[in-house]
Amino acid sequence: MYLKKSLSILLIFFLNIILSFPFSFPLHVTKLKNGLTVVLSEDHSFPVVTVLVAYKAGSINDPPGKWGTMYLLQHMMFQGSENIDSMEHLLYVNQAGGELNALIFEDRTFFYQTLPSNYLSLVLWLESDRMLSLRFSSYGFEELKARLLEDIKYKLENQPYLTTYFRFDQLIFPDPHYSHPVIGTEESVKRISLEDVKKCYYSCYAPNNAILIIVGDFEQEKTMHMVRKYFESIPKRKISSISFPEFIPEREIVKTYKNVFIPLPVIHLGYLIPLSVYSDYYPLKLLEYILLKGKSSRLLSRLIEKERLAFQLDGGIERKGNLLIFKIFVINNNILTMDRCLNIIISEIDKLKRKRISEKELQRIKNKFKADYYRKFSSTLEKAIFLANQIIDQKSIDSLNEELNNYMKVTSIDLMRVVNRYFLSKNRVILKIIPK
Amino acid sequence: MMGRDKILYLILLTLLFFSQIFSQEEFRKFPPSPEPFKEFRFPKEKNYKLANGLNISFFYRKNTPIITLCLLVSAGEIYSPKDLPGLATITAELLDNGTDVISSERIKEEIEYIGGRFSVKTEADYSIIYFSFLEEYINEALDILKKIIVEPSFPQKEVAKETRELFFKLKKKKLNPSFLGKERLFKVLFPEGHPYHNFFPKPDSLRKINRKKILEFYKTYYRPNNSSLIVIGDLNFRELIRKVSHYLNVWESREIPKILFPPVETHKGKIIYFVDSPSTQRPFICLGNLFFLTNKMDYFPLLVLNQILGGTTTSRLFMNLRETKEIAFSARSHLEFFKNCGVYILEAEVKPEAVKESIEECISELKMITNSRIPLLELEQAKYYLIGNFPIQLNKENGLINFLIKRFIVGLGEKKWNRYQHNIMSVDQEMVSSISKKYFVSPPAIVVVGSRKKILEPLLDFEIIEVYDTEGNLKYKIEKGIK
Repeated sequence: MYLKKSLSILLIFFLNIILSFPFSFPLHVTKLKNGLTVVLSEDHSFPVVTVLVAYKAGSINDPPGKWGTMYLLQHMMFQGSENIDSMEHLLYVNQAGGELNALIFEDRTFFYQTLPSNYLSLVLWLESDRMLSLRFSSYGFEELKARLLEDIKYKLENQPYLTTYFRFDQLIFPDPHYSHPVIGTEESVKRISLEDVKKCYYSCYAPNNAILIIVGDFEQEKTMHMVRKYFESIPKRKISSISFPEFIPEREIVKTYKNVFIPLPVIHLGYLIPLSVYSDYYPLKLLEYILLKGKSSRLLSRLIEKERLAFQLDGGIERKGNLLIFKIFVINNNILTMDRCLNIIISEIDKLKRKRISEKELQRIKNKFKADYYRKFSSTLEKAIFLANQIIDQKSIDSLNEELNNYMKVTSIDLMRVVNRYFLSKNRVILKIIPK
Repeated sequence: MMGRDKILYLILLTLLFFSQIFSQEEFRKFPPSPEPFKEFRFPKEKNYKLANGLNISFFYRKNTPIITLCLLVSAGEIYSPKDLPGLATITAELLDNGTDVISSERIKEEIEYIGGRFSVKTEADYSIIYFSFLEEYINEALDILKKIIVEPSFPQKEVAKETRELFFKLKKKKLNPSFLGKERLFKVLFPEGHPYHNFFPKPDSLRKINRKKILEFYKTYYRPNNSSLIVIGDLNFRELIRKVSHYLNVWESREIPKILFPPVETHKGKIIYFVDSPSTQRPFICLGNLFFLTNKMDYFPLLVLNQILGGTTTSRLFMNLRETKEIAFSARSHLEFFKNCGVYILEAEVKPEAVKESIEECISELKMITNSRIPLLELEQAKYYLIGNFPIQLNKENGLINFLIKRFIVGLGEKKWNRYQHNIMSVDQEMVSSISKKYFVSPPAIVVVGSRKKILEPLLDFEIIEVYDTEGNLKYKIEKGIK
């Protein structure tokens, strides 16, 4: 039901929405003939504009065994297109005083730039050219590949805990297609050919698989005219759509490994939540705050501040297809107290099953969440990223106020209910990694 | 006839079709021209000074549900006694750790209850307190600020905890080549005894810090007449002043002891300062020297000069070291401003086999920028970057706050800052040329951070090399030709 409702948002043509937020956040959503979703949001606070192109494809679109192809493709997007030479994209943006970057995740890739608003047409020209006609030079490709191999080596040597995250994801999705590192591995990157990157470009980076988001100081009608000029003639392409497999947890998984690179022992703990009722997402998100967000959160204050068993604590909800994973990552102070640390985490979760959270704590959590929610709108770039994620996650953008209210309406009973419903031992994955 | 006409008609149609496609795609061949430049109007500022000497600067931001406060206290690391580096940092870090009647946990809960984010940062000259929260809790926020600034008790338990945490943080920093490089550079540029010589806290000196010293430091420097409060939000100015005054008027002013800045000169030596950091895989080089702004308006051409040299990834250093020669992973330059001087720094993360070449390239870039006239096009591009980037920086979270802090440190008047874009636009080739000769002419101090075993040998061609460990101890000195 939720899915249907959300999908309908993407089909809205010429939708104009003014939200009753404490700040102005007008939205104009439309879809071009070639399937490109366009979202415009005017904000005249500063004479700047952010243009973000989000492709609904990421590392899960890597060809089998050639992990890192989409990451290479993301970098190839700066190597020039039909009318723009290598590095020119960067030069054009930079000369205007603008900033640009790209982000890649498992199921999405964002290209974004923020410029003085009088350069809006320049960015549309740049983005449309690389969507239409990316250039594939074998020299540029080999150079990028060599840099990526160097990066992988450097990251693995300098971020000792990085491999433990991959190991944990492999426990949830044993098929490496869904759990390999976004940047690939040394062996897999060596196998990637220019042809592989090209295939991914044509099957993933198409207008009918993309969202164009423009936030900032512009005039809607004029901008829509420019968007049509630069983007509407880009032909639709056949999309290879890959999604995470359905997942139903059946039994608890507990594994222990040794690792030579990590200086301190770590625990990864996850609860796998096949989300059938979307409204449960709201209390689950607040649980993230109760347990992990802020110095007063239960696990942080207990494990780091009071008992000093842990050196670092992190985590939160991650979404992979229909599966939510409530992840907790702890770097322990020493190996002897590792089990005690794990027991405390589980006992804190069990406590939430038995005892309702006080109204004061709930209000604190809600206020913290609300302030963080507002902070997502603090710049044109933050707003653009927020909108891209909302649309790809099939969440509503037509009533952000209502969405915030959904979090604010969560009661202590809702929280108790979701913990009892989803935080079961059969849904649990525990990975302990100790230094060798 | 009909058949031939039909064929001709079809050919014409086809030609028309292709020409339409061609003309449709014609616009893709060249970049569109930008629209007229929109000058950015700096947000209007309102100022007030409380009876106790606290300066308040207010910026109105319409429809902002979050209020941001920033308190600058002239209590940075240069004010730590010489034998107690780190005292200023620990004092600032401990501010939100309880009062005589409220525990550290309780204060943290109170901050989170109002959707607050609280953080502190201690730099050379200032300790900076950032505090943002939901606008409906302005009274609660000011009450918390009062507890943090006026009533901190620095409980012994929290002092021990914070000292231990800072110890580990500093130990971790000692693995960071960029930190090690900058620490050595400042030791070289400022002589022993100068406040800036030693403003990086050392893990081992933390042991000497105790609650008594912290209280003394707090009572000396955390005074309203030594601080400035910046407020940004959708608030009524008068109402704000009334509220701030209500909560902070009990904060007592006191005379602040002056510290002496002994005269320093720009660096002139020919020594390579090598920090032996065995765990560093990508060697880090930094070259820098002091400058003294004799005219505050020189700030603007200096910004342009830095932009040309290494401000971004299209500047000379990056284009030369990374893109053309492919000997560095990153390369940039930046300017740091302090109360009575500035430091320019060129830095790069380089390939192990190319340390010497990278140093030579940096020196050559410095010479080129001081000896040759900047091409007009390059100058204009640098100016356009700075002008265009200005509102982009302000548009970011804390962008305005960070800009105001910079304004405060450099000390230019409000009017000159508010004409930032105009002042950058006025910079010409002559100004950049004279600025580079005025400030960038002495040879820089050169610091290299890396593993001695892997990268020292090619550097033996330099006249003198001093090798230090990561704790700052001089291990030995190598002079060319002397074994």
